[in-house]
Amino acid sequence: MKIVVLVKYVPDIEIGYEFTGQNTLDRSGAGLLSQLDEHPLEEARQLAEALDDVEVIALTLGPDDADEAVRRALQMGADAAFHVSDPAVAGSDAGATALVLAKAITHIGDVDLILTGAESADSGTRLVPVKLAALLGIPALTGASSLAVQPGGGAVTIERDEDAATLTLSAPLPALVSVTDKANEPAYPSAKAVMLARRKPVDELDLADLGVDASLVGAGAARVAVGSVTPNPPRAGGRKIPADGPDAIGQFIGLLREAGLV
Amino acid sequence: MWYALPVIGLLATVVGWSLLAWRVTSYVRGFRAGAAELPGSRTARPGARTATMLREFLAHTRLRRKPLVAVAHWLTMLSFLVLVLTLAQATGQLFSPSFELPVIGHFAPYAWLTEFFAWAGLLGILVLIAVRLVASRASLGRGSRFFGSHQWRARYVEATILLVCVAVLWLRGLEAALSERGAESASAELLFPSTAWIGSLYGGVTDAALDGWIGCLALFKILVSYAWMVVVSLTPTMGVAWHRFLAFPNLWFAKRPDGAPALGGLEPLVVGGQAVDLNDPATPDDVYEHLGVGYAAELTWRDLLSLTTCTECGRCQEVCPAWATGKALSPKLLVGALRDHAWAEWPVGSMGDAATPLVGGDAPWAVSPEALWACTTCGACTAICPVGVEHVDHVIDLRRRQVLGEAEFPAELGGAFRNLERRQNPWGLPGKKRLDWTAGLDFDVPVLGETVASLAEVDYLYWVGCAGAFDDRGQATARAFAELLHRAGVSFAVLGTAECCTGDPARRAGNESLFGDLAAGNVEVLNQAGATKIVVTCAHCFNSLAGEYGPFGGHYEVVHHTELLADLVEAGRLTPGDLPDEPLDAHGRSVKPSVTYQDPCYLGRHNGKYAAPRRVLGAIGNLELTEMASAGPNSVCCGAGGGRMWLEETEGTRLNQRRADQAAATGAGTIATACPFCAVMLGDAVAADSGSGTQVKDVAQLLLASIAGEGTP
Repeated sequence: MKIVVLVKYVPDIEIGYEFTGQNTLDRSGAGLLSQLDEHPLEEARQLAEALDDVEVIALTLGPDDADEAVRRALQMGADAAFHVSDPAVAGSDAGATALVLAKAITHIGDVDLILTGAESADSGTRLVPVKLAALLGIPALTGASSLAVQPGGGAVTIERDEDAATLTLSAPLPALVSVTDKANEPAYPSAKAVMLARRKPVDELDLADLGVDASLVGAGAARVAVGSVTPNPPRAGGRKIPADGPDAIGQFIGLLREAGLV
Repeated sequence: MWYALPVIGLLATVVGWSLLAWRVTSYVRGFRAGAAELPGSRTARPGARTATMLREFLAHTRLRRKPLVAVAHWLTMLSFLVLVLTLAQATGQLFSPSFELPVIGHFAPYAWLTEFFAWAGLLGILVLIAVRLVASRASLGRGSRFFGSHQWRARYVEATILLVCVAVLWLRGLEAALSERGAESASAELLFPSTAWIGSLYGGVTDAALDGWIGCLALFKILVSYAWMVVVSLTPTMGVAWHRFLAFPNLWFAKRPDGAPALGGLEPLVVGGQAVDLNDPATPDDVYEHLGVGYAAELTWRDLLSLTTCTECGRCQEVCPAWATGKALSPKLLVGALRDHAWAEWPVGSMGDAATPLVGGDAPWAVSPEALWACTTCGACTAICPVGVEHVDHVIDLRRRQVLGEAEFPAELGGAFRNLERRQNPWGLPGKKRLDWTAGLDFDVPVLGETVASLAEVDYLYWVGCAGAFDDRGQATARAFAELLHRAGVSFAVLGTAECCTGDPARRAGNESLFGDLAAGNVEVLNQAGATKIVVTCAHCFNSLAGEYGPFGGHYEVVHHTELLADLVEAGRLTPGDLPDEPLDAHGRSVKPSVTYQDPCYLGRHNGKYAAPRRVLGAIGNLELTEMASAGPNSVCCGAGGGRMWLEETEGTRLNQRRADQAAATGAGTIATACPFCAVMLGDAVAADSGSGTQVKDVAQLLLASIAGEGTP
């Protein structure tokens, strides 16, 4: 069984991010593998451990720096990786991204299962997985909090936790599943896994290799335009009552009273 | 029938010595089968090693906290050496009751020595028996240092020594009686000064009966001694008996030739006697199967020797803060488990697939993960061990395997590792905020590469540390220290955003790979900056920068901020004043500011620095320093070391609360410390007790407050 895990190299947005003049995210700083993508990687690793003959391939579309994400994916259990990188891709919208990824999946060939994170940590549209499945003509099961592949590999079953109920969904393979952070606790790679990752093959591809017309991708081909980006003002600092100051508790309760909370 | 005496005696002699020889051989084979140590690490400076061994043998420095036991043990120990010849004497007496050792048999000083040490040994062992009985009484439960020790093994050894001493004295009394009846009666007073009175009790027995008494008692003594030999030979894990031999080589092969405890900087990861570089692609694959210690076969020969030497005296257990707060970890039980595991799979490494993992396995000797991760690496156990067991290194070796090999460790630690990887600090805060602590200072902190072009322009590089950069209390300390440097006219610069975690939390948690990345990165930055003199406000940073960066090419003169401050005060460049008085007491009298000082483990026990912070505090005019019951080398951990800062503490009571209570017992209104981790832990503990009013301050903050006269900052 061949599993492709989509991974994305993102800016470390948890510690803050900035925008460029072209209304895109400033990606010049240090980035990392999107934390949300660790969950599908871990899911694939567990499937490979539980089932026979599973090959896990990490696939990323991103700049040269995205090597970092590829390396991490290989440390986390992927057997091989494909890294699609082309200057023409910069500024692509979700549709173009899905198009390139679909071509890459076709290039890899005989893929049974595509795993993705619930969303990308930076743009967070959640569009790419479904668009990709549509382009490939395969079913998409989104938001999996758990995942099981039938023995023999004929179908995949997921559970999706919704507010009102938990759904059990299944689809025949090949299929695409997006995995949430509830699905697992990603394992920290051992030193041996890190060492072995250095030897795993990484295929570098560009648009020409995939036969994608460059005019269909990039900022120019985006069908959705970002009109403007206005960063939210930083949150006003809350009031700080030093714990070792005079009557800290009294002040705190006073504030709660003022706010009508007690 | 008297022929039976020598026959039985000689049979016991042959069995006893044969088994002992077999066991000694098997020990040597067993130890030699252990994994290799880093070449030279256990043999360099043989002169210092010999001096250390003799010092611990004759001066018992590590027993100083129990002086009665020290004296009793010293006498008992020497009596074993002196009285060994009485075994030969007794063997001769099986053949002839009047047998005397050649040459020295009639030598009065030998006789006096024998009698003195027979009485001394008797007295010593009675004291030790009493101490064990009192210290292991059931009502103490876990509070006993002997909890979990093999008590019957110890009692058997004690009984043997007691019986041997009694037999020696009794026999001498009978010998005195015998010599009274012979031609040499005049020498009885001289040769049996303290035992002749025993002989006088036998005035009425016949000569034949006296001979019979001597023969039987000699046989009894011999059987007691050889029974001991048989028992200990068949029980290789009986350190309480074997330490009398193994402690000598174990002390000689100590990690620190000069006898300092095996603390401070850790050794690099070693596999097969070679330091391992996990970032070097040329490192052979099979090395990755043996990172750290996961199986008994991976214990080094010194590990095996050290584990086997453990006497189960429980001093380590008694001082372990994890054990004292109800955790699964006891250093003694951990060592005992490893030892039993190793000898159960003897000869080490021969078990192949049948071998079981040392941590978390099903074997009855397996170390539980809870125990392994409860260790704060405070080093109290290692510092107090009289026979030189290196507990902290054992813990680190086991953790290294769990992290690097098995990727099995508490989940919270994964978060800290990821933070260190991504943002180079365990808090996971953005590196660009590293200079936030400087806000509010009325001078500009010089930053290398911005306001300072080269470190050659300044006296010191101030290594702020992640706590100084990101933690509220740490920031306050950093500001106070920078202000003091500024006032004293000491020029300095900081690295600013180029600074990263030293890697201490990763290394103590077993993540040698991550530590290596951080250390190599820091050394590159420091060397590029031309750093030579570095001052740090964090005891953990101090330990790494001063003691662990050598193998990465980082050699610096590192001083702790309290050392620099003490020098500045004594040189007159800083003039401490008074701190504000505490609130008036019940009688309306003024109360001087009372302070107690918490020795950070990584400044004190790990690096031997106890004086500098006290010199600073002592210079503050009206400050009353009250030491805690356990201070200095006996100080108790706050709970943050060994990566525990980043782990939940769910088992038992909290370490920081216990230490804060000990501080409160001094009546001091302020706990001074010299490490941001201690400040966080103790600060949290006193904050949890809102009525206490105790405050936690770094030494630098108190010094600045006394100078500024503006109250405590």
